Amino acid sequence: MMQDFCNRVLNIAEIAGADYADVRIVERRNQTIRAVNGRVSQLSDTVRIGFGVRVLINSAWGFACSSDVSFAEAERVTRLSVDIAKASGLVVNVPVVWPAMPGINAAYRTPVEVDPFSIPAEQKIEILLEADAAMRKVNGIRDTKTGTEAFQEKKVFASTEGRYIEQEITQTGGGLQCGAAGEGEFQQRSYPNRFGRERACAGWEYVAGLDLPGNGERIANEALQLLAAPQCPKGVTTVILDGAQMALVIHETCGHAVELDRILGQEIPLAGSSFLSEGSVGKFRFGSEYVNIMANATVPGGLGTYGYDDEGIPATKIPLIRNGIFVGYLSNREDAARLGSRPGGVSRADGWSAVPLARMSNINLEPGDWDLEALIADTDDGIYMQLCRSLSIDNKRVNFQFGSEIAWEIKGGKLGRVLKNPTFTGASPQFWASCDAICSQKYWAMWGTDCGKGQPSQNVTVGHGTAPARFRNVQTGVF
Amino acid sequence: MPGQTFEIGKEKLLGEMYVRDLLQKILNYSSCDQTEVIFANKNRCLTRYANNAITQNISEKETAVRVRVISDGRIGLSACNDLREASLRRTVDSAIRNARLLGADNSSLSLPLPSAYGKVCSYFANTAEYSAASRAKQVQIICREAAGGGYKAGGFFSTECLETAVANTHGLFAYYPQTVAEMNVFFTSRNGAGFASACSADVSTIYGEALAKKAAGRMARSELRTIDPGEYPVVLEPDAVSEMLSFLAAYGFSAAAVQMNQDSTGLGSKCLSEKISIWDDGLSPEGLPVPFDCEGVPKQSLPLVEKGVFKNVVYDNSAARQFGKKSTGHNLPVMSSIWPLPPHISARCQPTNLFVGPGENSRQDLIGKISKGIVITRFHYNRLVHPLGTVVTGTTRGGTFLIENGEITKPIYNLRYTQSFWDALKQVEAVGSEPVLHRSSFGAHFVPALCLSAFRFVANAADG
Repeated sequence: MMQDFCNRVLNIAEIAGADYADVRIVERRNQTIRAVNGRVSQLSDTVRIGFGVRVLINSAWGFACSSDVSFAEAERVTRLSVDIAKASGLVVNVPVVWPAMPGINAAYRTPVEVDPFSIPAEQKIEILLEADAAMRKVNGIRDTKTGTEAFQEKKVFASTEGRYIEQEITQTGGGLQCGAAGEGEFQQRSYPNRFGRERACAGWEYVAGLDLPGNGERIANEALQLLAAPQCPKGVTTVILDGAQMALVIHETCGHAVELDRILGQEIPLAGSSFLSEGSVGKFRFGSEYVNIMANATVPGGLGTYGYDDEGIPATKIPLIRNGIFVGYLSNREDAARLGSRPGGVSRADGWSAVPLARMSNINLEPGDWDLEALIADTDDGIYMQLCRSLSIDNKRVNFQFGSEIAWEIKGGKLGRVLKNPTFTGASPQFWASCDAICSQKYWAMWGTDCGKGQPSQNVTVGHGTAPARFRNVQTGVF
Repeated sequence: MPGQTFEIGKEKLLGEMYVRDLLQKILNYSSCDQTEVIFANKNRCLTRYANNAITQNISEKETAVRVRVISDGRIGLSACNDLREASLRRTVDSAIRNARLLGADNSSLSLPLPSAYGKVCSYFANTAEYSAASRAKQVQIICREAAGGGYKAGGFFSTECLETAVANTHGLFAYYPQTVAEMNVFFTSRNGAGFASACSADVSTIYGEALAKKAAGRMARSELRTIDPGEYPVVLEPDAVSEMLSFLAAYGFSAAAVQMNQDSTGLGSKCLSEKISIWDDGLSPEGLPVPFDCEGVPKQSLPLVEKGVFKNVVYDNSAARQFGKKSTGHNLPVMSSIWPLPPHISARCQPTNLFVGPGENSRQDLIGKISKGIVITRFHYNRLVHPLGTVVTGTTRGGTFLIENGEITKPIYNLRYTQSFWDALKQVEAVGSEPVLHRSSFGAHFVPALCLSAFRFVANAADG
């Protein structure tokens, strides 16, 4: 039936004069369970379905979508997308280059051991309340939050080029967070990632592996330690960032900076542009020789892993930084064609109601060869920061400021006292140039995050594989 | 009444009678003690442009419901956007099933009782019916204005029509339609950027040419200069004030903020500049009026800060029960509450229709008060650093200028700030006389420019 629906849409579009058209039908199911302060506060199930039609007429795009997946609505929406494209034609100044792609019939499904929707809610609640109790066992903790989530997206893509693709993406996640307050201070600790939340493209086996109850007491004790800890000192020093913090550094300073639409000025009004330019490929020194970063939409479990992007291009690997030199963009079909290169399979949309944009998939820093213990021992004076709490970067992805949840002083190669409110700031190329050590595969893990872009704002999930890394001469203690 | 045409059966509006019948049907599917249904019908059209050309042009339509049931003190939620009977029944059953799995809440929540709502003029048919061709024409005018000045234009122009309703088994039914038109204009050149924006329920009050000229007026006429970071007096233009208020709404004025050990902010005491008064008013025609929150509790004017005295925080039903207060009608707007909010949206209830009392100072008067300082048009990539004091970091953007001896003298590179927004309200020296309406994440702010005696900049940032 879906194929009939798609064929109807594409037929109407072609008859109406579309040079190209595609349609996506997406159904999403979300289950969220949250417990706050010892009781389950939210247990919700949502299901959303809809379809979106994109057409290209004389180098102008139109897009229309609806949550009413019916043949009558298909007719209305498709004709509307054609009208919109014709209206767009009033203000177009660059011809769209659109090399044809061959037709395919394909499918992809996230490899899953245990369907997260098959686990009874009672079983999930039991784990959350056990984790909650582990945090509340520690005297002085004022509030606790735990949660799990299950997400499944079934989508169909079809285009006038004869590409027909069905995909089923499953994501599962969970986490903890606790807060302690006293004497005019408030501190939180989270596990495994910020906001007390981490996810993967995987089944329930991922949450089972997190051992939420086993980490409750630890983070509660750390939250209390933070209350009494001294403020992260202001200065210029060496920092070692753990994987969770590195993930957001990679995201903000590299992932967004290499998006070709930003480089071409298409995102300036909202998110900005980039310190990279069209002529930077193969020439711009992004970081030290130790820095190798790859976009890889095929990593098992990565939150940015899929089979095909939302323009029907297969997921692939794209080298972005090689030995510190910028070598590759993240681009959609149209912008890749403008540069005469192949599309990278990273054009992604937030469900049925958004147009695809060049996005990150999994943006991964390749591991080095250091043991974390040896790296700390090798650092005479510095700060080890863990888990990103706040982040901000300027409109060209240069000046940034990050804050972590917790840090430890390093003196004489040993971890020392806990420091609260750790922050660090810098300029992206200079910061990456100061990277002189990256931990080995043993410490390498996939981290995930939501990523917002576009107007209307849309969200996609992306992954960052990374190990801890060391950076020299970093300004700390901004706050 | 002008601007109040509700045409049942038109593509954009389903109409009050249809929605009432639909929600009653859904309520009838439930066997629980208390059941609530929130409904939203969204039609959103947006034209996005960059480099003086249209890059995206979209039309989005979605109709959705969220069901909340309360049974023996247990709350269950479910939502869907497929309004066929089988799907609606499944959604109600799912909410009931979810409720049964929760632990009982001993202080049982009661859904609101029927209320009377203030009359608002929130719907304009011309906005609802505004066409893609008309949006493209306005963008064309903006791009021509930019090209004429040697600039590149980017931004967006959107028109939305939203129908919202709440019904519950106590007989409460609340419904209103709303339209919002919003235009953003961002000019860039070698010498930086200029920004202007406007929003209104009535699209006929928004003019691309006027906004383009305003953005052009903020463009640098000479090369950008670098100044040292540090503390400076500033004039915050209304866009920047609105962005600051968004953070204060979530972290300063919500009941959750009280819970987060906010004793130091001094609720009930005079702890802010006496020049500043802030209130929330969902009924004011100067904002984007909203007559009720998404529990159906009526909106009313609520003072938050009165001449520097921190008067009130806001509550929804749940927070009111927790703190022993009455709901002030601030459960988050409908489309944000139908789907589970992401965990980093910590305040599920916050003020959404904020007003800052205007002063008597023109923009030039505010600038004239400063011997060396900075004019900030807007902020960029603002993020919370610490909830206590609402410490936020971000950069300036869209036109940043040096003030010397009471005059704007030079355009400057953007700066990164890290500043407690709560402390910023203590530093208000003067207030502008011309408030401007700005769309926010969950509503709208009607705010003037502010002159602050100190604002903390920590680093230089990129131009643009």
